[in-house]
Amino acid sequence: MYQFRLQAITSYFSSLPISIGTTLEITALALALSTPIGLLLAKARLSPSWPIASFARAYVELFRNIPLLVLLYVFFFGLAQIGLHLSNFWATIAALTTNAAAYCTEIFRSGYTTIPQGQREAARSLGLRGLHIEMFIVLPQVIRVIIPAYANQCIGVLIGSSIAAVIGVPELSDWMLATGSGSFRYMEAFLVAAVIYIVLCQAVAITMAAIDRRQRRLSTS
Amino acid sequence: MQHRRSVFVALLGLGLAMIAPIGPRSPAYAQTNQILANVQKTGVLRIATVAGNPPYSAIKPDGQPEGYDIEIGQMLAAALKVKPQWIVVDSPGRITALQTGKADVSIADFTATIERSTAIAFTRPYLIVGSNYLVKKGSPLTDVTQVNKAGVKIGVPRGGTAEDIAARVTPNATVVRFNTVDDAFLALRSGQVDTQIVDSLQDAAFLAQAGADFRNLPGNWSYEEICLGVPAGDPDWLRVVDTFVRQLVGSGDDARLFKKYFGYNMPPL
Repeated sequence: MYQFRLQAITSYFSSLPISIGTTLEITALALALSTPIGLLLAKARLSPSWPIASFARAYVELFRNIPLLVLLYVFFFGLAQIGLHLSNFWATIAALTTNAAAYCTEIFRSGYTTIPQGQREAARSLGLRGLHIEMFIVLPQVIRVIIPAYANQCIGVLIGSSIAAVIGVPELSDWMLATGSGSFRYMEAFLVAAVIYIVLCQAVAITMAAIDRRQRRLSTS
Repeated sequence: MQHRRSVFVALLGLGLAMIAPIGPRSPAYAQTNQILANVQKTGVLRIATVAGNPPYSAIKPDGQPEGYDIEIGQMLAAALKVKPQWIVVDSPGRITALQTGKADVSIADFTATIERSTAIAFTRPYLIVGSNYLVKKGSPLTDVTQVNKAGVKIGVPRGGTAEDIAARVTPNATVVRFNTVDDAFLALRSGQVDTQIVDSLQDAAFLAQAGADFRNLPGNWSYEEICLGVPAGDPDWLRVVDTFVRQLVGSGDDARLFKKYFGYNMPPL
């Protein structure tokens, strides 16, 4: 029977805040970069121009179908062999962003398809210009529709950031592996990391749910 | 609301699970004195080894392990008249596999340290190694003192003794941890790290093969006794495995295997 003792790893707790900070930093950066890319690609996918639409479609199919770990190896080891040196932190951001942008594209696209074409026509007949229709009529509704799916996406990126540990980025999973190997107490390290991931994901979920509720209230009032 | 309450209960449960079983100081895994009996009863010797660490141990594309340590494991199983079953782990997994009863013995370029000895038991050594800082031939680094600067990146496998050497010899440099020796080497080859701390014997075998592109920085930075690891708390099992190592070394089989896999004569023990 495994003798569980949390005290065995308490000396490793001091480096925990920095690790959590790095995990959040990776998540925030990857989301901040992948969301606008996803929005642009979704617009491209819905574009009447055949080459633009197929480019966006090819991007989604390509990067949604490559495992995150493979992308990470390509960005960290692969690019370096042809002379482009990304640090392990930025290789992680690049891998997460390209992967998340593919998913984000589909989320935005599903949002756009819920907006009836008649709204655009009505807005145009009222004299609004293309950009204004997009900014004030369509996009706010799209955002409202996609919030639950986007919340999922945020959690996916947060959890996906854990692969950074394989190329030694000092984030939460790296803390977990280092603590396990330093103290020979894997079970304790795994459980602490799992609980922290749950707390972080719940914080994201609760925040997004609050935004969702607020949006719904605004739209009905 | 229902959702939030259930999450709260789940977190509370996990939290309680973490603080509840705190007992007096005890090893992570309580061993019983019956590994030998189990091995003989099942007819299987479960051996933990690492992947990506040639010529000690590596996994072939067909999934079969090969190398110096692998053949030693096969000899141990043959001596006990049982079948070897390989369990592939990472560096620290060599210890946890023993602690958790997943493996009966770890054979994987395994250095005996005092720290590790507090968790598991080691046999006598069958090999003595040191360690080198390996760089690319064109690297501007010529000395270890130049490595000891912020911004210089050292690649090491996670949980191996290279981590301790980096902290002791070049504390100011940045350590980048990888899952295997091969991954750390890939990082050196692709220029993602500036140097790699390598086992000196592995290094010599490697330089003999691919020496054209790499060189060592002067100096040997460790004394490491490579041993077989067994779970703590089973002196009978340790006695059996240690006897095997004594005969492995004494009979000359050790030196013969070393020559076969490393390509040069084994340094004296």
